[in-house]
Amino acid sequence: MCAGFLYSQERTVTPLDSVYLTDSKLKEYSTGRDVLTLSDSILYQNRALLTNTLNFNTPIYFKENGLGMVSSPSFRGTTASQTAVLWNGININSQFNGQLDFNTINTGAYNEISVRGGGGSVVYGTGAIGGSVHLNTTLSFEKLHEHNLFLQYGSYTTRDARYTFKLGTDQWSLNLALSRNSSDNDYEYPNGGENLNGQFENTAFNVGLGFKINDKNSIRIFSELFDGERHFSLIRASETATKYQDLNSKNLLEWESSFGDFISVTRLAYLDEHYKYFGNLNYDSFTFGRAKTFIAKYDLSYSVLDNLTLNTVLTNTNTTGEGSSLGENDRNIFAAALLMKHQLASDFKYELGFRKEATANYDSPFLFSVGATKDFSDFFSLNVNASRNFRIPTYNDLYWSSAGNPDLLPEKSLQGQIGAVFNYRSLRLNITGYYNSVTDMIRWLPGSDGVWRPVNEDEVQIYGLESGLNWFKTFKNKHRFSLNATYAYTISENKETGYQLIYVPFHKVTAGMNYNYKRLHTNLQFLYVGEVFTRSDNNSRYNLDPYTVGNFSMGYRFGKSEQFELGGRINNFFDAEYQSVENRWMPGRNFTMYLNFKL
Amino acid sequence: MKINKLSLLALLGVFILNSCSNDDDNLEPLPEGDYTDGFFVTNEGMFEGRGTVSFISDDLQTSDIDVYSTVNPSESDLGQFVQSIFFDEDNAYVISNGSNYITVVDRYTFEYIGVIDSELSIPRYGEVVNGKAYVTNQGDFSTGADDYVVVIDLETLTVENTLIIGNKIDKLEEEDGLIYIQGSAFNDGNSINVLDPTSNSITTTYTTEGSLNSFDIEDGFIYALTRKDVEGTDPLEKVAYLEKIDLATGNRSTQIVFSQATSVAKNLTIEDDTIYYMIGTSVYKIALSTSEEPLQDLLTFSGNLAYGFDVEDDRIFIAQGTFDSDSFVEIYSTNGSLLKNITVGLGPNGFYFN
Repeated sequence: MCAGFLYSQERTVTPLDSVYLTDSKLKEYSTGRDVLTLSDSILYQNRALLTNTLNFNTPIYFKENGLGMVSSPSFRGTTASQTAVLWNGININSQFNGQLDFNTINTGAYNEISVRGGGGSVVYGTGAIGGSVHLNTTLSFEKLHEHNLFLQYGSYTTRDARYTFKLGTDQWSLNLALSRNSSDNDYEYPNGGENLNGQFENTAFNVGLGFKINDKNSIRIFSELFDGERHFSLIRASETATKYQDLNSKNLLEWESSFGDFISVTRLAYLDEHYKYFGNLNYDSFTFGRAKTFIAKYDLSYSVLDNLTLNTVLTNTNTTGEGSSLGENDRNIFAAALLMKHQLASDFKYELGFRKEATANYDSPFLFSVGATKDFSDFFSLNVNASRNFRIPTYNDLYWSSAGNPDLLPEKSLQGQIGAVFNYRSLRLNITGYYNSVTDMIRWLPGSDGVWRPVNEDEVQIYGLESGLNWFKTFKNKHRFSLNATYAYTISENKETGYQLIYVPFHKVTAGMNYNYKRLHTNLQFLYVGEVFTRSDNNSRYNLDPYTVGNFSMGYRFGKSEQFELGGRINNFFDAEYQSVENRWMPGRNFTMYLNFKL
Repeated sequence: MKINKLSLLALLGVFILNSCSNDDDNLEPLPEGDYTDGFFVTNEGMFEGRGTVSFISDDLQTSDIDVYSTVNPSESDLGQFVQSIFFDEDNAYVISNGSNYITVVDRYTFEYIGVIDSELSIPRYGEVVNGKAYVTNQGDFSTGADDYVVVIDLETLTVENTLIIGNKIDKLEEEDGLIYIQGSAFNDGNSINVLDPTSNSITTTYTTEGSLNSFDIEDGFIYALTRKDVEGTDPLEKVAYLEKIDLATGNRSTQIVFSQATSVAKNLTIEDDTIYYMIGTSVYKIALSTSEEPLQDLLTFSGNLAYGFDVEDDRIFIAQGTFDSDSFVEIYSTNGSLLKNITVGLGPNGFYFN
């Protein structure tokens, strides 16, 4: 297995012409920031749920209500709805709460997951304040016929099966992924209890299909179905058992056409988000929410000069949402964005972007982004980026029965960052410092009548450092080592009180080490999360302790062309007693075995 | 050396007190325990956390923010969302409505005795009558049809009977051997169900005209604060009523029609023939027989959400609804002057007096 990590900036990336990524903006318009890409080999080293993969490999902090339960991110000290999640370039944050539950994503459905720190609303829309997470299906236009079956079985009857099939020629390409994950999830708590009613199962099916009609036209289809059911674990045995079902589909059709110096991409997308919550399993009753979103997008880029590109993106998003406490509401948002990219010299480039939305729902702010990269030598380059971003009020915020507030403003973020990248032989170190001022934060607060309503209340200022280190070395052509590490230092404080936001650690560290020798492969993972506050007044009496978790895996490749890999993994080998949410223990030491078969 | 002197003094003190009470064999033994003279505050706690109980001494000079953990550091916690406490002679019963159990402790020492953890589903409030506890349960939130009262044998701490009431239920109050159950939850519902503990059945159901917020019983009458929406107002306005029901005849009359507002009268409680209630963060005080809305409030609470409210022994108790950090309560005299502001746990919702 190769290192699996790829830090990319446009400068260092020479994308294979044959590999197509529909979220091309991620590569083309990330001037001035780092993009961290996790390849499928990294994905196989972690549990199938997205929380686990990102927690051990990126600076994003996760608040997880026990293994596999509700999980929300804090990216660069922001709130759960301030990380945008993009599926093949389409924003899939929930229409209802603006967040994505990272344990409702099965990573087996994608062959590439990227993470970009910092604002991205100009291109990606609402929620891209702390950063964005990109779930991508790539299409390879080359002669290809590849099966990959990955099977994993472990403690608590945890089953994880992922199958991918890739088929391609220079004219068409198919990428199919089927993934299923289930677990009894009945691990023991350090205090003697057991994780009751924590079982879950989910299935994801994802297909990407591309066809080049001729030199100038091609058509691509992406489609995903996710079906998951989770019981929510109980802290105490007598508690009311509940469960949650998700049935989500995402569909994207795109037509790309080039003429002269223009390239146009027309996209139609349809998203169906449907959940049911069973608040008491002794009864049949449930509450639900369902949102159907239809997106039409026209993306036109024009190469003014060899080194200067202009790009306009027009998007219309129409959502029909209904739910138990929401009634039925439609909303339409039209967005226009203008982007420009200019390679001024071989060692200097910059980009500009603007976006404005028109909607009857909220007062839309003018958004911008500006970024530049300057190479000072082969060893050293500097990046800068500044942007204004937003998070729009959600269906719950606007329409919740007798509590919704139709007068809410979007949350707004003005931020800047400066980053340095050092490259020395196989060592790469990047350090980014940032400052982010978030205003009009939407918070649900009890009114004097006791009813909780959303209001634009808080201002938060966030600053910190984010750093990544990558290194690899081969000794005597046999021993291959690699190291990937991240560190995040985060101050995120309420501007009025000066207190750090709850559930934002000052420190988070991840490290992954790989060692390969002939057919043997070993991997060590570490995660350190510093102390977090759980009370808004930072009363340390209630803090959650810091924790360090380590995982170790070892595998051996069999077969003439090493097409089988058989291995095992020890998760949390320190047997650390830890919780990322008050009263929600995570599992102690546990084991898995896996088989990876390629054909 | 200082410590020794103090210990000696304490020992002597105990000796002297003991000798005093021993002098008179006819006196009932005084309840012993650190929490004899004072009151408890129930704190709901965070969604993902555990509820707590704070103790405050009668002289308001000492308090303990989490008395259960202080006394019982190794016992399991009081559960999610501590909703209320009810007492019998010796014990306090602490209801957790998120965890569906009731923790039994000594009411004077707060030492753990046991737990009742079966057949409860979102338990809310309890009362003890004739040695049995009656506890309201909401069950499925979406309907009142399944709401029920459990009858608990306090000797065995087991549920011996389950009585389906059939409408939303919440607080209950014992009066002359009958149990009066508030037939509404979160202002949804308009009945008062009367449960006769001798037959374990509902003998009478009174209905109020508006939706019921709170009620109290005094001198043979139910006094109820109710409310109705005023149609066509935006933001929605409501009008509150003080309704009066004669227990003997069941006759209902409207004693006061309050002026309409977005925030209306709530939290009625009667103490010494005086009705106390709140509008927003203001406390009002009227005579039992008054049919006029008062012009002036008695006091304004310094917090922004009065989440718990009570009047007892010439003092008014208000708890601030803060749900992201420890909160506070304020104690006022019945003439409206602030006596003390004291820190308690997160989400304080009620006061229980020893």
